[in-house]
Amino acid sequence: MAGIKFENVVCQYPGAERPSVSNLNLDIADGEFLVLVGPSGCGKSTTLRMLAGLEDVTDGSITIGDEDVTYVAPKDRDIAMVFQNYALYPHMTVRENIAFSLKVAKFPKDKINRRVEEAARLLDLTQYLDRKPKALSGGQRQRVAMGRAIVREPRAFLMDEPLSNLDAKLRVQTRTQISELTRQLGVTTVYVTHDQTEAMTMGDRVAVLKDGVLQQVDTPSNLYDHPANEFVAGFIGSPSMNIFRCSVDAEGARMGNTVIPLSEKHRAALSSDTISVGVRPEDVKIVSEDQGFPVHVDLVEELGADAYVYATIPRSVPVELVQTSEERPAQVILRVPGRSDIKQFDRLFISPEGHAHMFDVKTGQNLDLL
Amino acid sequence: MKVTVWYVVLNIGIQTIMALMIALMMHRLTRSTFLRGVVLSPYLVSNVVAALVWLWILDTQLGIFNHLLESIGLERIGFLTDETWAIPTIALINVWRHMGYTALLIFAGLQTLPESVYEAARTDGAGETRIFFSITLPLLRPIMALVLIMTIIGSFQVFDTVAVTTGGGPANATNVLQVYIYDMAFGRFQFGYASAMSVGLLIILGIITFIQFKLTRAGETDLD
Repeated sequence: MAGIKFENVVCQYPGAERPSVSNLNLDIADGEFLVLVGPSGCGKSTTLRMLAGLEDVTDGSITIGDEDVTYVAPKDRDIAMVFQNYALYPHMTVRENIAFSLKVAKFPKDKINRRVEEAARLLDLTQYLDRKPKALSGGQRQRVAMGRAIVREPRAFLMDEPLSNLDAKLRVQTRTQISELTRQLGVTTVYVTHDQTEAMTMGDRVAVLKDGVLQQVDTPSNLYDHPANEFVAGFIGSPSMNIFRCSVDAEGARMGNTVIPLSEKHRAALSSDTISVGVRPEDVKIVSEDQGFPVHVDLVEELGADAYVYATIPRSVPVELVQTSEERPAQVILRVPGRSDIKQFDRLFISPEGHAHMFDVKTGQNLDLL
Repeated sequence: MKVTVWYVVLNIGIQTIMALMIALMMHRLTRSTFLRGVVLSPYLVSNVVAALVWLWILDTQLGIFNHLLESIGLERIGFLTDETWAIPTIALINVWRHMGYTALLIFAGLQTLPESVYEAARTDGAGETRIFFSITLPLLRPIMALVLIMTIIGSFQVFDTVAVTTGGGPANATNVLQVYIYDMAFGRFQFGYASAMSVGLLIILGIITFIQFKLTRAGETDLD
């Protein structure tokens, strides 16, 4: 067991225009569960693979424990990795798969058997020990991959989207199992995912990456309540935060008939006369006609206890919506109690109530944190 | 028959190991299609031509190879005229001609092996040798089986190289089955005996292939 430290780590593939990971500084405590999250191509997998030694570090250094491993071969790093496609050895039985690393390390036979049986029991694999991976279901293969990792008692676990090949129900179940297991074993874990729900539910801390640059590292609740910038605000949380762009006048940020007062500190930090106001779906409230601004309801998503209303802002309203994701049109999302009588094509007046996050339009920085 | 088996053992043994080495080198070191072409080029030469060229190169008196041997202080060797040397020499000529083709087959097999399994093995602490014997070879099993079955059948049928270089001599040292059958049929006109031997060879090859197929489980792969 050991802590992990990234110092100014850069990874640039030959011929690439910009580095896949640039100037990464990250300190992972002993026994911590850290999740690397970000959209695809953000460098999270590259970061993990550099830690495993499967990718070359262009600049900077990586330390595991107190040992500088920047140029150490993967086999000498004493880490265990769980791959997205599990990468089980197809010609070996489950038992041989789990025992392989111990065999390589020349453990005595009885010790190998004891450890394998123990891992199998922990993962509920005892009855499958003599099967080959081909004869296992996706969930079972995933557990074999976990077994292969834990049997070594390594200094750290590295997991590269280990749940992405499972179906939704199994994913939630396995998510909990992995969280419990790693905490029970107390081994430092670095976990890569593109799924922010996984990141929020599993991590002690979560590191958000975008275009190879670390945006913020914090506990899940801090990321949710105090996002460092517009990107983190839009990425963390499901459904994502509404980010409105509106003008600033003497009274404050003007959102239709509602004005959000700005502190002196906020005003001083602003670089232009517009501002981005981030409001979570649960903090958008329906108000009477003389307040807030109007929106047109496109869709109501009933979830039982809650309902999500997706609405667009008409052009006549001087409030713009920032598109937080390319997969989704720019729509205001608000959470309302279930069984509401809001229907498609309704016209509503909405206004932020509760916590509003202020971001600078140019830099995207959260003005509260400056 | 003994001569043929000795030839098959030499030819298959050396050829498979050489081909495996070439394939691994091609896989690990280069992506150049030119080099792949060079490796395959001996296969483009006809058997008879290859045999003639080597016959001249290895000639005891005139051959450049013996000239070289002598220039580094070794004795001349009658590669194709000495009883002990003749079969190994013919085996090596055929290895030279065929190994590129075999290497290419193995190389194609290597490319189907998933990279992530290798990465898993490396993080599991395995070194290169370990990975080769525990991962690469077992996963190559169906390809190696195909290669072995094909090359063994091919080696039992060796004829043209022998016919051109030694014609079965010296003192029957290279009198392999096919040459013997040919001699029986068209030299001594014992067509019945020769035909019977041909059918016998067919049956023997069938049995060998069947055993190989079963032993190596050539029909199934571990890869999904």
